[in-house]
Amino acid sequence: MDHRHLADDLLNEYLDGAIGAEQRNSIEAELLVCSRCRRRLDELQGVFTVLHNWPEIPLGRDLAPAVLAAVNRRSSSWLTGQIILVSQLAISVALLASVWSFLVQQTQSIAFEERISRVLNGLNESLALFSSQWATWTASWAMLIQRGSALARTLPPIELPALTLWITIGAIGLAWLLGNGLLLRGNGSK
Amino acid sequence: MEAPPDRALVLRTRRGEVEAFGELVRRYQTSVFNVCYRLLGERREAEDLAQETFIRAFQRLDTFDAGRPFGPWIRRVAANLCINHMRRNLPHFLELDERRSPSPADFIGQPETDHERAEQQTAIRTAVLELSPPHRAVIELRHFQDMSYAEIASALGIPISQVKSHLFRARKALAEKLQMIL
Repeated sequence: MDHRHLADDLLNEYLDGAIGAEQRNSIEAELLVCSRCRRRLDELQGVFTVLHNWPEIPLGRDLAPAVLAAVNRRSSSWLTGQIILVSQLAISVALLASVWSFLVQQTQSIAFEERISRVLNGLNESLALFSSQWATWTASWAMLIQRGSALARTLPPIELPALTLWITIGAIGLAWLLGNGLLLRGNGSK
Repeated sequence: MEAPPDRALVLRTRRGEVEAFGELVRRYQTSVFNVCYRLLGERREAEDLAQETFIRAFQRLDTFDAGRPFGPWIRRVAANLCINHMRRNLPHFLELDERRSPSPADFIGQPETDHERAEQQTAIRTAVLELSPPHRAVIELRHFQDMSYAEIASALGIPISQVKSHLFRARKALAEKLQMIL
């Protein structure tokens, strides 16, 4: 009668405990009657035993001093990064708080919708003004580069209203906080 | 005086006693080095990665559950680090089948009190280290890190069917190489 031996794949999964109870039972039943399957299982089991008894290779040097030195070095640079980050956060929050209190002062006595509308109008005007002044500045700088430093005296004075100035500072502070915060976080995780 | 348990050393390290971590390094450096060595097959590289393993572990000590044993955790960190290292340096390492024979210098420093036993140990190490990188990786993760097929597949980023195929071929190769001692 033709006898089908247990496949190696199945024996591997059996030894790994990666098969269900029903299949396990049928494999164990087969092992009882098939000496060739048992022999093959024993060979595979031998590999497991050899690996289990892996003869450890001794380490040539003590790693502790180098690890501790590296850990101390990285801890101190991490601490410096945290201090810088916290300082930046504090300064940026102060800047943003100044802008906020300025806005609240400007709009305290009026209705909410009107407040929002004023703020948006103010922002719009400020951006338009900033954009036009920026264009003037860049044109002047372009001229300066072309004609030399004597033209520096012809640069127009900055005439930004307080709201524009504070919003600009606040935006720069926010960008600075986000940019540097992200950079420092990246450094800390290395 | 009795040596403090791992848990106490972990807690002391977390409180800022870096020296306590030094003691953990001394306890586990050999087994961590062996994880790296089995995976990388190069003594110098394995030492460097073992060192890096402890540095990473120190930085991530807050994520370690102090109620669990430290040894398996640190060895798992080592295995992950070495696999990432292999992936970076050999982007297709899971597809390669190049064989490399360890140099005799790899085994220098072995006390050979029992000649036959020493020969057997050398044969076992050589057999494992001669496996291809993907075969070494699955053997390490299954037999030494005790990971399931699904965990190995996830760690190596390959399908479970490929894990099984690598694992079965690796064992077959080992059985052939170690015929005389099995």
